[in-house]
Amino acid sequence: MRTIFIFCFSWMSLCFTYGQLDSLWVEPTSLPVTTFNYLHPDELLIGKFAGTWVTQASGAPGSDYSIRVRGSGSVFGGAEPLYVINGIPHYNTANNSDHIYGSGVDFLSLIDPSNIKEIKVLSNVVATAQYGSRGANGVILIETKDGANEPFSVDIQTFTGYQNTYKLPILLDGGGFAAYQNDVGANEGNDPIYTNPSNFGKGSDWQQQLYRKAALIQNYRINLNVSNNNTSFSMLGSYLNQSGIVNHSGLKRYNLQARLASQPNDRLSFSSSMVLARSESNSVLTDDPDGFGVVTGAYLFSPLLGSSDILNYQVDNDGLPMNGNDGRSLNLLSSHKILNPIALSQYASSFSTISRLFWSSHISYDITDRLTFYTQLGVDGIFNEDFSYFGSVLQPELSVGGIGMNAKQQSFNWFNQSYLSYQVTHGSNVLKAKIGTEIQGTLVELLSGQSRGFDNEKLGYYALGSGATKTIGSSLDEAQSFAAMANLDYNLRSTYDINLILRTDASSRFGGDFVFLPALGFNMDLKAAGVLSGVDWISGANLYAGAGRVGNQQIPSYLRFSQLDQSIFYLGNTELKSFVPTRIASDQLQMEISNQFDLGGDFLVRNGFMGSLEYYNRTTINAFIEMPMPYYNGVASLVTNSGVIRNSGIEMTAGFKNQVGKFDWNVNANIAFNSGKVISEGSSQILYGTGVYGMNDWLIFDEGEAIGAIYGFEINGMVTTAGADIATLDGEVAKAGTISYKDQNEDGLIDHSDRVVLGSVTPDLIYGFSTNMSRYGFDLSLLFQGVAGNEIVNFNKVILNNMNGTGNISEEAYENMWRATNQQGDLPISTPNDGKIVDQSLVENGSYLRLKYFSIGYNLPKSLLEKIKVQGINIFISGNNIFTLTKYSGMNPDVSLFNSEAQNMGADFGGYPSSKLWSVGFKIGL
Amino acid sequence: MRSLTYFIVFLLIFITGCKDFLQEENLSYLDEIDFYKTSEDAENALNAIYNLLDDQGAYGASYWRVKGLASDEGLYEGNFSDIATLANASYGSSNSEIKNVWSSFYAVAYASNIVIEKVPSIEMDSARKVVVLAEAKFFRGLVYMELQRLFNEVPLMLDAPFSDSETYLMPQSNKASIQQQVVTDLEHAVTSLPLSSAWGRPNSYAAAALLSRMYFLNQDYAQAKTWAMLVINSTAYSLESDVNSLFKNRNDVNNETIFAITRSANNLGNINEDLLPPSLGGSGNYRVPSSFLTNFDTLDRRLEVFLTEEDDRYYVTKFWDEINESDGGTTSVDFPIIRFADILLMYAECENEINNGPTAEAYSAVNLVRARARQALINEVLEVRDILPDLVGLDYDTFVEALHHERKLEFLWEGLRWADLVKKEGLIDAVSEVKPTAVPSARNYYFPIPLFEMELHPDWSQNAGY
Repeated sequence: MRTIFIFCFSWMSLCFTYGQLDSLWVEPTSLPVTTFNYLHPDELLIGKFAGTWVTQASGAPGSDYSIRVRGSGSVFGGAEPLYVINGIPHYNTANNSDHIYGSGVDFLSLIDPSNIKEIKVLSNVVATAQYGSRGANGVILIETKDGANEPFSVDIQTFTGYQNTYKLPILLDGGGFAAYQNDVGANEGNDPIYTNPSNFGKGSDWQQQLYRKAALIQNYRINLNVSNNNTSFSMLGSYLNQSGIVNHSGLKRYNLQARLASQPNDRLSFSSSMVLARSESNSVLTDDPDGFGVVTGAYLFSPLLGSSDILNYQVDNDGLPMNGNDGRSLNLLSSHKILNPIALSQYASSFSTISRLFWSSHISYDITDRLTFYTQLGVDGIFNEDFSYFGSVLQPELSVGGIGMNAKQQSFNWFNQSYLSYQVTHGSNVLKAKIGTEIQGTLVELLSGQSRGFDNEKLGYYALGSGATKTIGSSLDEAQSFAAMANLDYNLRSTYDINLILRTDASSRFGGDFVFLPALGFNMDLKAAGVLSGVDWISGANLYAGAGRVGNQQIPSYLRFSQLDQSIFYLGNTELKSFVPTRIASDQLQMEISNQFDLGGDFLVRNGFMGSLEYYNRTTINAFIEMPMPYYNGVASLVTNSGVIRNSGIEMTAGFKNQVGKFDWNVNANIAFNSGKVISEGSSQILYGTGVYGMNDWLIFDEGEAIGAIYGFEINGMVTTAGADIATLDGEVAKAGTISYKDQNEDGLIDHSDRVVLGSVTPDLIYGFSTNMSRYGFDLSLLFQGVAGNEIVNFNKVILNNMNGTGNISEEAYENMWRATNQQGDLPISTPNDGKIVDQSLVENGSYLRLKYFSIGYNLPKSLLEKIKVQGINIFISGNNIFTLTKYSGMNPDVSLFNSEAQNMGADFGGYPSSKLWSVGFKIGL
Repeated sequence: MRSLTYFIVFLLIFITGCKDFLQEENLSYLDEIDFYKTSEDAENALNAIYNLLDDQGAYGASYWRVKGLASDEGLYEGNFSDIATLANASYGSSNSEIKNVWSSFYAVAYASNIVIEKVPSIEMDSARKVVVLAEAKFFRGLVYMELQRLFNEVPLMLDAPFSDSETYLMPQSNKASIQQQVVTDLEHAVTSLPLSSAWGRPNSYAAAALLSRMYFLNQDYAQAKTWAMLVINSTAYSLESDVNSLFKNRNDVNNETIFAITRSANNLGNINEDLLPPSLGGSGNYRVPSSFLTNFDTLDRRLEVFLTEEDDRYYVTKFWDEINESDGGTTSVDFPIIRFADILLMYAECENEINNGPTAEAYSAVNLVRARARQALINEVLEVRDILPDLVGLDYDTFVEALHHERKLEFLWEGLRWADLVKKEGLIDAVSEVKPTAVPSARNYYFPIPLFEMELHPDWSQNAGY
């Protein structure tokens, strides 16, 4: 449905849509103008829309972004917004399968961002209610270019750039590591291992070997637009070749997109669009919660070893592997096997391809002057193949050989929406009515095979049959949904508008029960209503309010069924099969329903200043909960609807545009405050957070706490003198050089019940600021963005600061290590649980301000262009992630180990580092 | 307007067809509705119990850590706080090892309840059906006996919920009603299980032996004796000639094991990862206090087989098959739940209690165990050592002491020492003696009910002192 445009700034390329300053015309003209270097459609959302929080989960080429619109509307379900591309709704997913190493390529990245004409974020309930049971977490509307209003144009664009890492931790070098090993031994009362640590010199710098100093990126695009009176056509071909900053990783992407729109007569109009895209990516083992990846490997692996050493051995004075009493080499790490990161990046490799075929069409026919029939049909097929091989060289102590994996997944999504709309105009009053249905089906099929023990490793994943042991897996996930909708909109004298949406939704995931989701909106044009009659300097203003219900159904399929899993085991020497429920049926599961209320206003000042202020309050009344169950009921937890969470906040946007002579200047600034709280947790507090390096339950879901509250131990201080009266985690007498925790319940014991909330992973404040200036053909664009008030659990510190001697550590940690000679040190020399404790020391302020995009360009003068018969030439230099102001000690505060998972936000551990990108390029308009 | 009518008709047809369209069909997983129909399903449901018995908390790592370290037979030197607090008696209700034991035993109870609920309606061989049901009752009896012993008043769940709407919150049950259920289940198993069974499966005597243990730990010696005598008089069991062939150099099928968690090359256990010294591939973190050994004769065959000394520290090698597992870590030695030596020693104690002094039968039972410890089968030659003379001429108290002493070494790290100390109310003294820094108190006679469950059940009462 067309939303009501109160007023629209075409000059600003920003529109108010039902009170929302939420629409951005990315490239309003076909002339080459300078824009930022976007590689992924989600980047268009960064820093532009108040209340839209964009996090880059992993720095791997093509990996996905996590988007939160007005806070996290769901904790145990999905909280990503719905994407509607050329009218076809779907949830974005990434190829994060178990069959590839590292972070997979995001399916949305197969839509070339340069071909997007318009992207909008819907967050007000009157807008999101149009999407009913999928609107609760906001809706991203994407329209691709259709060539309208352009008689004929061809744009050619290319850029070349370099990416590099922007911050790596400084680790101990060879000599430092040897000295540190001596100190660890001394603490345990052993003699020094190394008589002269400095003999080892620099040793191996694994990080330097792992990362490319300058990873090349190249992009070519050609865009054709043509239109006449009633038909327009647009076509794009593009190619991207991006090397990753980690050796052996990279992405190639091929795109072909086209859209045709036509209005053959007064009554009929139609449009069709298609995308044919393919990506090919190479990835290495990163973003691994267990810490086996190359990034953590480069932290931990001993600098005293060389490139031919696979396992993290202890070495002797001569640099040779040291043997224990039993004659075997002493492994540095006992509980986590750490492999040589360079060998791992070479021999544990994945290759994956994604092909996407997207087609969308709509036809609109005016049956009478007042009655219109509209139907939209779309199909979206995504086919991906994953190949991985884990070389036998990485398992020198085992004789099982290499492991090859091959998986094929196809997902298919089809959609139809049909409605009749009726419009009657009476004077300046307009009544619009609409009735229609929406139907959609999705299907995901997977077939995978794994094989190990190849006679000849050259064959690997293309010859799974030649392995010694093989396993096969397959699965299906299918869901259908249906909705019926009626919409009534009445506009009185172009001043007052009232909009009623009645919608009922059903999904197979929730047993096909219909859920009623109504919404009501009211809007008033203050200028037209005469409220601002004396205030001439305000050229337009409106006030609006809306209330309604929206739903969320992002939860895995089949939860309404119990699940019996087979396992094969031996009783004595007899092989037996067993079936036991690993999940019992959530037979009362319903979709999440949010009650939302919005109130806001927009204004436009005559001299080019505009602004908007909104308040929202969205309460999810039956939030999905991973409800803990008493063990006698057979399972530890069950998904129910027993939670209540609330996100409320204020969003402000201000824009300014001025033109003085030839100097154009515009500014967009936005800021949003959000408070996300757990109103009810069901029956008892829920600890969650997937295991990272052996630590789990690092988040708590509890009444009155923030959404994403971090849970762990509060630090009391260093124990400087041994004492029996100091309670310790292991119940032992406190030794000097250990850390003591606060006994919160004062029972004289330190145990898990002494944990407290240490922060929250969701920000209180997000903001963005962008500006564009142009004069004499030069233009400069900058985009700053940032967040404040959130914490990050920096699990990397468990490695970099861990003094138990099992791997390399950071130089800074070594300096701060508590020793008899360094009483000021605040890092413990010995810790229980191998230091794997979620405590205050891991929780860091995640606030940052970043110059995210920078671009400077020059448009060749018209006089010159006319001579060479081209429309325009623009040369530009642009940069991404230029600088970041933050107190966060890790590589990047804009991070999330578990990608867009709502359950596991705010963890930083061994992720693929994000990079700085500098590029130069040009655009030619023919 | 005609097209509007068409559209509405189309819509109505569509919505009526919608019911099927919105029906979710689950083709990716088996669920309860598809299962529990054939005899094979019944066997697979029963097998689940055996699979779960092997879990971390049932008779796996957490079980032996909790029972071994909380008594005076285990010291811990590692740096995992939840394990360290077990060893120094400072564990609380949030201890993850204790929670593992709780959750794994309840998982076995759930799998048993499924069999007991679902199998009766399955069409299958009726004789086999009786055995399947009796095995499930045996295991339900076993785990509720363990749960009551460890946590006292636990919920007695006898249903098997498969969906949210079938789950419910339970109250705690008292000791008497839990034990009544254990007796009902095990007596059913005694009458319905066969007299002999395959390796790793319980038979009628195994159920009788467990009943004897339950009464014994309750100090109901008359009943304990009755059930022990049933096992002894059957003559189905006898002591293995040498403890070495019972453990380290094992005979999987022997006449002494009444019921055990089986281990084989196909199903290796991991107890040795904990127990062995580093030189043999273990963690080296678990030790037996040296003071524990001072009262035993150095020539005692059990010391030789069960323990090894390294740098003045003693490590448990009882479960280490040094011929087949030279580099340690894994084990293919069965973990006994109950064996004939236990029946003999319990019987001797019952006789002593009932007659207020040892009888001839009591002496002969305990002396069988001592006689075995005095001999070693080395290179197929039986060597009888001049140690451990037969017990004679003891009174009630000294006989009780002698039995207690015998059990301490005989059942080292088999999970029995803790219950023995609790029964004799000697836990506090014994633990303080070998662990000077530990602070045991009366609370340690039960373990805390896991915090996780306490939070879900505000009406439950936690065991005293936690």
